[in-house]
Amino acid sequence: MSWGLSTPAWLAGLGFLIPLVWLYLRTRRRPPAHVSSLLLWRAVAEPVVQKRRPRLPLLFFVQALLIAAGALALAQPFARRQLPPGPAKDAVIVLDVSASMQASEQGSTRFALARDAARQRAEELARAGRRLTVIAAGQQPQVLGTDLDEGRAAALIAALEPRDTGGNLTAAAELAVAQAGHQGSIDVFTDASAEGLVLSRDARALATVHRFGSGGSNVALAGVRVVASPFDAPGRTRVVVTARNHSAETRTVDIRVAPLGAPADAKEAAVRSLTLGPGATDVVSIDGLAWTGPFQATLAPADDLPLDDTLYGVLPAPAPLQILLLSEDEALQRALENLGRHLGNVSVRTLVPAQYQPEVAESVTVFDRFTPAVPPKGNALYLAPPRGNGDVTVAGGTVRARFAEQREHPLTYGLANAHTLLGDETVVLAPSATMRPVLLGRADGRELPLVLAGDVGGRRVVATAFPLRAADLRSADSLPTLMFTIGLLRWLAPAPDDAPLTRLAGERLRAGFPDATPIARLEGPGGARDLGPSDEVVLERAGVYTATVRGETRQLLVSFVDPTESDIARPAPVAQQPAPVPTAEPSSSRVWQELPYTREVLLVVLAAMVLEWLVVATSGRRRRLPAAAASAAAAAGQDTR
Amino acid sequence: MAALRAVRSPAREPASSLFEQAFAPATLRMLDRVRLRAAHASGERPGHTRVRNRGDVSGTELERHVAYVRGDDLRRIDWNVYARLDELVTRRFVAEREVPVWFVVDSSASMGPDEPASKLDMARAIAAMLATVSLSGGDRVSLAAIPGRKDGGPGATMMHGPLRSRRALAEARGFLAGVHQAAGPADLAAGLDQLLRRTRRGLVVLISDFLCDLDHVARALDVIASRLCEAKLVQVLSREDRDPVWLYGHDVLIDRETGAEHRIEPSPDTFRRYEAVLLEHIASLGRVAARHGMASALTVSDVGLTGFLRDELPRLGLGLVR
Repeated sequence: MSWGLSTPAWLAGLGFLIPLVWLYLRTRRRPPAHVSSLLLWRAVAEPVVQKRRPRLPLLFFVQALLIAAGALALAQPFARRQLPPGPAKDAVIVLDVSASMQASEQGSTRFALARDAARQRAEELARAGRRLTVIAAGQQPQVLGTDLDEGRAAALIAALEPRDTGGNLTAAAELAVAQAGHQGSIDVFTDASAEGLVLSRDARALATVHRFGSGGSNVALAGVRVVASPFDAPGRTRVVVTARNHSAETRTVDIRVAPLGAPADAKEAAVRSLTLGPGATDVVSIDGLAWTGPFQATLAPADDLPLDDTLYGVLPAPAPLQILLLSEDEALQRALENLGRHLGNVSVRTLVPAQYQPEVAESVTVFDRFTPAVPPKGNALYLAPPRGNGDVTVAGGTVRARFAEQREHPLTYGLANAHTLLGDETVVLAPSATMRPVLLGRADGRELPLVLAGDVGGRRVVATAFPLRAADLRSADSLPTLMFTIGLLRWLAPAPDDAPLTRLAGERLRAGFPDATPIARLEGPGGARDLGPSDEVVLERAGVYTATVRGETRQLLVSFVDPTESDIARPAPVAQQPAPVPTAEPSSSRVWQELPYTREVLLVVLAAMVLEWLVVATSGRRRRLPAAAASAAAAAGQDTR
Repeated sequence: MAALRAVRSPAREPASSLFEQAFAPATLRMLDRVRLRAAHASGERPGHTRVRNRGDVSGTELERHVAYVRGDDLRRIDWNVYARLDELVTRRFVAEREVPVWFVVDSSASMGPDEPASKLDMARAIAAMLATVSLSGGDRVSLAAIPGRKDGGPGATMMHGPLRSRRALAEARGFLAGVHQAAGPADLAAGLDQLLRRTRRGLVVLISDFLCDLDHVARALDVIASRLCEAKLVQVLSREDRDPVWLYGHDVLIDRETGAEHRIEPSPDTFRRYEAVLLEHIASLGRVAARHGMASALTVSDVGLTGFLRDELPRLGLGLVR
């Protein structure tokens, strides 16, 4: 261990010792005293002090210590010690388990090739005496084992399978650096190029990237959206499928939409052909589907990454929508009833606010410029609420606002010219943790939400800062108001309790979501597992799951959509040198660790200050008697020189 | 140690000149009521001092009868007693004579510094008070200082007198005011030998700190005795002589008279030993004085004039009577 100073220039503070010594020596130099006669003094029998060095008091040494410790503290001392060569976990194997590793390569998959190489590398490292750590670089890096021998590491690597999620190699590399230490090595097995990886300086210094796969031809289904209204006839429902060509040549693919589990030749299936240029994205809209329920969209012919060739969705079954309107505006009542008749399968019942009881609420309750103290049990729409309740918070009175921003939300699909929704005055709503702004406006120089939407206790709630104008609902010229109102009703229309849930791979699924009754068991591609009420699982596999809730099953459709992973066409790798096998001996370069000692020295400073106070207090008491005697002699008119 | 405490008076006077205080009206009024009484000294000229035990004087006040011895003056034989008792006795009378009194002040460097409330100031004040009493009593007063001058030798002297009657008090004051601290030590024996050449049966009041070799003091007393004079020693010590605690913080001492240096360890133990040596020195001075049939007095400069008159003069044996 060696010692050093971070700011040695502060040691110049030791120069204050010089005036301190000078002051003490000056005061300690005793002046001679004139006496009447030395006759008696010479007769005093005592050993004559021939030569005596000026003695410095304890206070001097305490103050010198104070100065020295202060200067040392300012210089920020540290101890430097050499770190032990190589921690136990000094060779780390990072295996990319992201979805792109499922791409076909040389008759196998990229992952299989990487896994074999990783296993071979583990054997080399183990033979060199290195201890092994295996990390799976998925969406969240995971240390599978540390301080492994060859067999255990090989077994862990062999058991790995690629996942249907993205990968985070940056986080995995940082975790590997922490595991490897300064003497370790990191071997990354991935299909990404070393240049494309975002690695820290430490990770890049230690890491060797083994790359597998470069080209590949892939067309992916990039999304599926069901454009349907629960109060529409099934024939008016559309399924919009987005496809993207990630290959370098033009591809013509068939997109097939069929009920989930239907055979290949099922007559319910709808097939559309789509030609995509290199890197192009296009959509196909399929309508006229005469069935409802869960479906899957598949892409043919097969390509190098089958994972992104299938997506899942749900065609909702039409259900009558019952709306309760609480309004005193008869014009709005008539306009809404008229709209319901045009939409079909919608019934509107109107009450004046005074007649409202929570029990009379329908599946969707619309409060026109009225806010009940007790919210309804079903979904609710608040139009320009005058005050707040448990569903919505009203921050102030009415202001004149102008439209500012429109955010992505099902309520805003197909909505244009949203500023025409606003009237002369708007209510000042306040967003909350559950109620998020969908439309934003600006008034008096500050931003305020125009439409809030969210899930409150399992209920869908929408609040608008402006009322719906009856005239706009009757006029075909007021298209934004009509679109917005239809979007409102569509989003507020409750889904059947047994409707399948749709999620994306990689999402976290809370057992308690979305119903108050949590999911107790989940079975699917990753196996089966029981969940507690507060458990949360990451959906690492795409496919069809079965969730058990209160003894009843409900389908969970997990689709894989990740353009980054689907883009498997990577630039060709440069020729790689075989990775050297590090030895077990520590390298010649020493690694030092600096341990600061400033706080300890500051403690010494404080202790010296306390000691100084004690010394001063003690010496003052000890000198009181002779000082008093001398002063008495001086007061008596004697020569005390 | 108890003797030391006895001479330490807590009374303090302002740090003004003690010599000037000696001529203050209050002090002079106090001195009017006291008279100097010498034990043996007596002059030849008539005066106001009652002199006893002298067979060679005549007078009106019979002191006592003593047996006749051969050589006695036949005129002193009391024939009436012889007629009644058939014994020859002679009459002794109380004489009133003028006593020649010398007030000798040691003005050596050790009495300094020359400033108010110093030993020299106290010595001058004592000489002034005693001279006042003597002049009031009709004595012949001579004043002297050894060495007297700053640049004089150790045996140099400075004298004034003889003075008679209280009218000469101003002269005495003027002379004493001119006595200052000399640069070196004093040779008391040489100075007294020079001063007392024409003096017989006088009273010599020697005022000094006597912080010198006691052999020198003995030689001075021998000179006084050789002139048939009576000697009274007034030792004036300062508080710094008596209480050395002021030397805390000083480890080198310088002799005011010789300039010699001496190192000490300023500690309570050292100061205790010094006080023991000082007590022994004072006692030795008393023994030297006693050997010459004289008394010695002890004082310190901070007892003040009132304290000196009240407490120290009776111990001195100068015989102040009211």
